[in-house]
Amino acid sequence: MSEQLLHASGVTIAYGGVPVVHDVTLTLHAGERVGLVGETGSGKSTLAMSLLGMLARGGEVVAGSIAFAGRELIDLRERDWCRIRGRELAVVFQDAGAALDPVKSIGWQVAEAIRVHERDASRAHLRLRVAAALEQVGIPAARAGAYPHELSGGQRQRVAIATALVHRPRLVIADEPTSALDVTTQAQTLRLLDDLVADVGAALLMVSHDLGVVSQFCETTVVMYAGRIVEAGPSPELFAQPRHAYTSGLLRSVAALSDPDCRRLPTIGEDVLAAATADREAR
Amino acid sequence: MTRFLLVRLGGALLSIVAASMLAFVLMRLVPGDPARQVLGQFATPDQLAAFRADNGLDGSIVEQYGRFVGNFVQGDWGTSFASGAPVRQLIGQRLPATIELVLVAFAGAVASALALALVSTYRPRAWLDRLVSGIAFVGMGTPPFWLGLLCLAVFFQQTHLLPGPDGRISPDLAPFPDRTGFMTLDALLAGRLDAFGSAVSHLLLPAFVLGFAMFAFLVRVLRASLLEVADEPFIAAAQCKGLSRWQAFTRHALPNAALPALTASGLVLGQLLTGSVLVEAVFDWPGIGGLVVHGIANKDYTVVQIFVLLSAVLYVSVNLLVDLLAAALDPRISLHAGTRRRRRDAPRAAAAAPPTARSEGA
Amino acid sequence: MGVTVPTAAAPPLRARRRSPRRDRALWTCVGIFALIVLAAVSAPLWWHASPTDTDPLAALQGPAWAHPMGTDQVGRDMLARVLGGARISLLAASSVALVGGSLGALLGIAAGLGGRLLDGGLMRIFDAMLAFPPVIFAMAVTLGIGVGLATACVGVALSAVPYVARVVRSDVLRVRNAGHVEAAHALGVPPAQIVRRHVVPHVLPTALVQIASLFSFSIVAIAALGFIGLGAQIPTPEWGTTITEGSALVLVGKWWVSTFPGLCLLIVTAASAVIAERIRVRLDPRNRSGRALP
Repeated sequence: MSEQLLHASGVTIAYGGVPVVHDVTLTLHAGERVGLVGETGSGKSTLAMSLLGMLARGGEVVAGSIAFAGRELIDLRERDWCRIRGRELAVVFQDAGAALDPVKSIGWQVAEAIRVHERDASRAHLRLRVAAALEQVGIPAARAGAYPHELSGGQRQRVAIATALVHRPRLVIADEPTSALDVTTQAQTLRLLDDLVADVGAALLMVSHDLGVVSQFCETTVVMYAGRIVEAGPSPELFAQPRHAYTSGLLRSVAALSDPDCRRLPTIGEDVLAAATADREAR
Repeated sequence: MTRFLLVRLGGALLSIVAASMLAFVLMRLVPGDPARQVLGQFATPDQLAAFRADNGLDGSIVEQYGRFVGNFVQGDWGTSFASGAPVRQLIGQRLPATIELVLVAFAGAVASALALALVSTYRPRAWLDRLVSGIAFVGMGTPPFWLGLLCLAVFFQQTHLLPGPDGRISPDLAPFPDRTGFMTLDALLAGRLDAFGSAVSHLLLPAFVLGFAMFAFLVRVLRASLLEVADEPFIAAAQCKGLSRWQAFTRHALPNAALPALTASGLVLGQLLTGSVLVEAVFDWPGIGGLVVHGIANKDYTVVQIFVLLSAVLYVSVNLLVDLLAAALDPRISLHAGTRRRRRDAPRAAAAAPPTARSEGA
Repeated sequence: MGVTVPTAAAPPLRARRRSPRRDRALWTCVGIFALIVLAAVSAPLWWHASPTDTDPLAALQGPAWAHPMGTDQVGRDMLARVLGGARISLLAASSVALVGGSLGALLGIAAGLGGRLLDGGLMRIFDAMLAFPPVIFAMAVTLGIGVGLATACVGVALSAVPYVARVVRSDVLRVRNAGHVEAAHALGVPPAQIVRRHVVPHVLPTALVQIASLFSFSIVAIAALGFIGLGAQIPTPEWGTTITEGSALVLVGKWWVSTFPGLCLLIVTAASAVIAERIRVRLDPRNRSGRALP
């Protein structure tokens, strides 16, 4: 298999002393696509943000190590983070509208992303790069002067993708990239993401609660519950034959919608949840 | 865009006209007969009538108002009862002094408020939070006239570090040509560093006192704004692009936070106008504020009336300008159809602020 | 192990939603305020000097045990004058806040509920009043009607009416456009009852907040008018007037005549402003930005 890009081992994250992610071990290889699924509060977003060093105030990684391309990310100085973020590690947020500065044009913001890591770029060069980046995501270069509120949700998300990929990063973290979009736009955006990520050759960590998207998009799936990894493995196998009761519970909850004989929506039983939590504690 | 402009301009003009009527009516309510006051108790009815005719004090109040407005727009602002000089000349003479003071105070207040707001919100700490809040509240509650006296007591009377209330410059310095009306500039232009130093030292205390209340107010507005914006996802997103926290703060948080603060700064002008009256009184600064205070003391109501009217004109104009500026700078405000649609309430809301938003008494 | 990853856009420490009981700043200010009110009101009971007794032999004495705040140029005890000034200022500011606030609220309700004509008319009048910086407006009113503490109060109250009215009016408009008022109207509920039952409860918190802020504003505004000679006249021991009386003395080293009244003024205003602010934060949780300031 390709080289190991990211290796998080025994990572525990706590907010104000209260642990929200317990002893997580996760490996990503170059070019690999990993889906991180779980319900709200499972800790998946927190884990993803810790990979960027962007934990909210009060959060800290209290145990474990995160190695990215051979470099230890925990305890990294801000100056070094600034060199990695945007260049080797990039992120696409859930709500692109909120992730864009409302008083600056999208062209300016894409240019900023470029300028941060290419200080000597000339204005002309930047303009070309911005135009190319926007065209790549299907936004005409002429719209570079538009402001975020003048674009649709789908277009804003595409700008976010363009911004993330502008330096051809090695790892793209997508935090619920399509949750804020309607279904048609979702499909379009995912297709775009697919093409561009493949083109750049980046690895992708997609955090999502949408099992359908993850099963199609990611070759590996990791299931989290209550801050712990409950199951992980190649997607086809995981979805066809889940080994953990929680995973099967999740899949059953989705499947019920298409089942004409279903009278009651299946729930994930108390016993399963208890088992999921107790599982790790026992180890 | 033009429709928007015209609508706002029209509104401003209407405000000014209504304000002039109000000011006029209020002033004319003044008890006591100016004619008799000026001419003395032995004046004959003819002399009194002549005085009134000369000063536009005869005829119905509507006629008087009409005459007043007509004269005003033509540049005839009446004559000061006390000094006999045309009001316009008096104001013109004293205006540069006030402008110099106000500009320095304003610049100082804005710069320090910006710096303090930025520093205190960048890395929020509980004690810093409380300290800045405390400064803001104390600043807004400090009467400028009292602060002025206190500063004089400490810096002049006790320690002789700074000059006392003897005007804009030390009287025993050799004079130099008056080109701009601004002592500091003129001294520099004439190459007189000693005069420059004196002018600056005379400016320090009054500008500080005048600016302090403004500073307190601006710090509050800016901090509130910044705290809100700092929460927004696009700041974190900027950092994820590789910007340092400071860069994200100054390039993205600050511009977004400045917009609501801009609208609130129109109110600051009200403070400046009021404050200049009080501060100039304390420091005997030869500006318009001092003119008004003397006018009140001497019952020279033509002067006071013109001042009241002018302050209304200025207040309305500056607020209009600020509104237009905010609209021009904020891409979310659509300038079409004479209305404004905006995504967030923030830029407008501050304008409807109740009395606490202004420094008490300043 | 305690390893810390560099944190990012940190959520700021804003209005901590603590229960009112643990809000230290609030209670400190309430305590200070109450202390001053108590001291001022009960002064005749525990302090022998009166604000108006002159004693030329004891003129211009600095702070000492006999006269903790010194004496002024005619020998009046400054502590008594400051406390007397407190009584005046507190009373005046309360009346201004209550009258101005209520009037403003009433007009705001009238404008908000009234037809186009009433609303438009009132707003034009307010626009005219709002064209002036408030203290300057109060100044003009006082000059027009006649100087004195009472007229200064009237002037300050009037100058604040448009601000209160505008805020209340926008609240009323919001309520008016809300479904339940329309529904009540459609059901035939008499207008007076609609106002009483639906409008007033919504508007009351706003009005209270306005009254509280108006209080701290008027203390300084009245003092400012007193300082220029338009408010309380000499020898009333109003703080602003007292400061004026002592202003020339400051330059010859007799600082206490002006300093103590001003200090008290500062303390009372700041304390009441903090209290008003806290009230606002608690009564109006949807007020995150704008309106007044956090």
